[in-house]
Amino acid sequence: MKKKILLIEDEKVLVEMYNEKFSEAGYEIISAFEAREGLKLAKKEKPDLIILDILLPREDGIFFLKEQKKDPEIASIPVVALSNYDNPEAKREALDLGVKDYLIKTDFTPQEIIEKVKEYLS
Amino acid sequence: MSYFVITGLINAIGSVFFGLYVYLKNPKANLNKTFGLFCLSVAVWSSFYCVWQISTTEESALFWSRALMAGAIFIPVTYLHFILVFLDLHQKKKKFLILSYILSFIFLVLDFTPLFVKNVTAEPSFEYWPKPGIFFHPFLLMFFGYVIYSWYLLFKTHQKITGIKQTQIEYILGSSLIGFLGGSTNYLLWYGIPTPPFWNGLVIIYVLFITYAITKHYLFEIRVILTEILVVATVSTLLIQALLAETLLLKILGIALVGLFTIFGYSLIKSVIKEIELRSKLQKAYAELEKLDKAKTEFLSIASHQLRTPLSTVKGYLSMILEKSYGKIPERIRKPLENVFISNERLVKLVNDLLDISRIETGRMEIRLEKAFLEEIISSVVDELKFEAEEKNIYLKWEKPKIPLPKISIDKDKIRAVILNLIDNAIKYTKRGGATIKCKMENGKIKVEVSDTGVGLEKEEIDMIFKVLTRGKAGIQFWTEGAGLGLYIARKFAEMHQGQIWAESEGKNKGSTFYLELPIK
Repeated sequence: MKKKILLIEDEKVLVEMYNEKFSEAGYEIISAFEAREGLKLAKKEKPDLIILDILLPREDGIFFLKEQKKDPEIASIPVVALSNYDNPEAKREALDLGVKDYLIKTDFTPQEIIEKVKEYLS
Repeated sequence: MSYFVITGLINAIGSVFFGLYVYLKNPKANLNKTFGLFCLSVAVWSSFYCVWQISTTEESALFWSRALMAGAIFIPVTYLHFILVFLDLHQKKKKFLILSYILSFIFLVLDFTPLFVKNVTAEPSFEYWPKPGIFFHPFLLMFFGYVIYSWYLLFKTHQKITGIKQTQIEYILGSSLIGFLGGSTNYLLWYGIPTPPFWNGLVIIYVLFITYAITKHYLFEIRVILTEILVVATVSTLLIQALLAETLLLKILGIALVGLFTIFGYSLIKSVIKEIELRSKLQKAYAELEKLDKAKTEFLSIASHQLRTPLSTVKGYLSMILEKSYGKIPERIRKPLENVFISNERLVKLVNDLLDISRIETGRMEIRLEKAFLEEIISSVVDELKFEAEEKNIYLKWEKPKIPLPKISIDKDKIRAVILNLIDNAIKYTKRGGATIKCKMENGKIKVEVSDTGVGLEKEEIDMIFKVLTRGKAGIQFWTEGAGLGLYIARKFAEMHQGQIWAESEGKNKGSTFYLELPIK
C-alpha cells in the first residue's frame, strides 16, 4: 500500500513540485496551505508522515505542532519540518516539540528529501 | 503649636500638594489617579489629625479622632491600588481590589460608632487619645496586611525586571518602609504603649519620594537628592550665621556669601541633573539601538526566507530535469542546465553565508557541542567533493592517521562546514596536481592539514584572506564566484571552538597549506 504524506506548505509552486516528485517516487501526497487546514486533514486522513513548513499564513508551524501534541488521534504521526525560515529559536522550538528533523529547503533537492523521508518511514 | 500638630500639618499640606501635582500632570492616567486617591486619604487623615489635637473638649476630640480615622481607613487600600496599577496588576487583581474597597467602606460606616473608636483618654503628651473599639483590631490587621502584601508584590517584581522600573521600585519600597513605619508609631498609644508618635513626620517622605519616582524618574537619583540636601543645608547654615552676625557689615558679607553659594549650589544641582539626563538619553539611545539590531536580525531571517523560496523552486525543478523526471534531455542542453544548477547553488550558499555572518556579528550564532570523530567528518566531505576533483583532473588524497584519533567535543555541522570550505577551496584554486588532507594529534590538539599544489598565496594575502570580503589575488584570477565570506566564517567557527585556522604558502604558484587546529575536549 502506498504511504501517505501530508505536506503543509503555503507556496503553491513548491506544493506542485513536491507533489510531482513524491507521486513519481510512489507516495500518496495530500496538501494543506495553512496550519488549521493541516490539522483537519491530518485528523481525517491519518497520514504516515507530515512535512511541515514553519512560516505559514495566520498560525505558523509551531502552532501546528503544539495543537498536534494535544490531539491523541494525530499526536504520534511523525513530523519533519521543511522550511526556509532558518531561525535558531524556531528550530529549537520545533525540535523540542518533537519534529524528526528541521530541514532547510534550499539545502536539499526533492530527491534528497525523498531519501530522508524513506529514512523516517523505515 | 506642638510638634505633633506641626508634623500633621506638614503631612496634610505635603500630601495635598504632591497629590494634586501628580494628578494634574496627567489626570487621565490610572497611575496618577490612584496616587491622587492615596494622597487624598493621607491628607484627610493628617488634616483632621491637626484639628483633633487642638480640640479642647472630650466630645470634639472624639469626633475629630473618628474623622481622622476616616482618612486612615483608606490609606492601605489606596496604597495597594496604586501599587497594583504601578505594577500593571490591577486588571488581574480587580476582584480582590473591589472587595478591599467594600471592606474599607464597612470600616468607614463603623468608624462613627463606639465599635471602632470607643472613647478618648489622656496619654503621655496628649490630653485626648482615642481608644480602640472591637472592630478597630481587624482594621489594623487589614492595614498591615495590605501594606505588607503591596511590599511583597513590589519585591517580587523587582526580582524579575531591570532598568528604570527596578530603580523606581527600590525607592518606592525604601521610602514606603520609612513612611509607613513612621506613621505606624501612631498606633502604639491606642494600645497603651507609652510611646508618642515621634516619627509621624516621616510620612511625608514617602509621599515626596513616590512623587519623584513617578514623575521625574531621572531626577529620582540619589546623587541629585544628596546634592540638593548638601546645598540646602549649607545655604541654611550660612543664612543663620549671617542673621546672627553681630555687626551690620558681617551681616551684609554673610548674606552676600549666601547669595554666592546659592548661585553656585544652583549650578551644581543643574550640572548633576544635566549629567543624569545625558545618561538617561544615552540609555534610551542604547535601548533603541538594541531594538534596531533585533529588527535587523529578524529582517535578515525573513529576507533570507523570501530569497530562498524561489531558489528552492529553481533548485528543485532543475534537479528533477537533470534526474530525467521529465524524460531524456538532449546532451547539448545538459551542460547549460548543470551550469544554471551550479550558479543557483552559489546563490544558496551566499544567502547561507550572509545569514551566518549576520549571526556571528550580532553574537547570535549558537554552537551545539557533541562528541564526534573528526576523521568521519573529513571522510564524508572527501566523498562529497571527489567528483569535483575528478572533473578537474586533479587528485584528492585523504591520508588517514595510522592511530585513530579520539572523539572530540564539536558542533558537527559547523566543523564540517569549515573542512568543506578548506577542501573545496583547495580544489577550486588548483589547476594541476591536487590536494592532500592529513589529520594528526599534536600538543594535545587535533590538527587538520589541507595542502594543495595550486596558485599559492602571497605574504600579504595570507593576512587578509580570513577577513570578511577579501579573496586574495588568486581568487580574483581563477575563481570569481566567492564573495570571500567562506574563510571568514570558517575562522569564526574555529574560534567558537577555541581552535584556530591559518594558512601557509611559499608564494605564488607554489601551492598553499591551510590548517585547522581544535582542542581535544
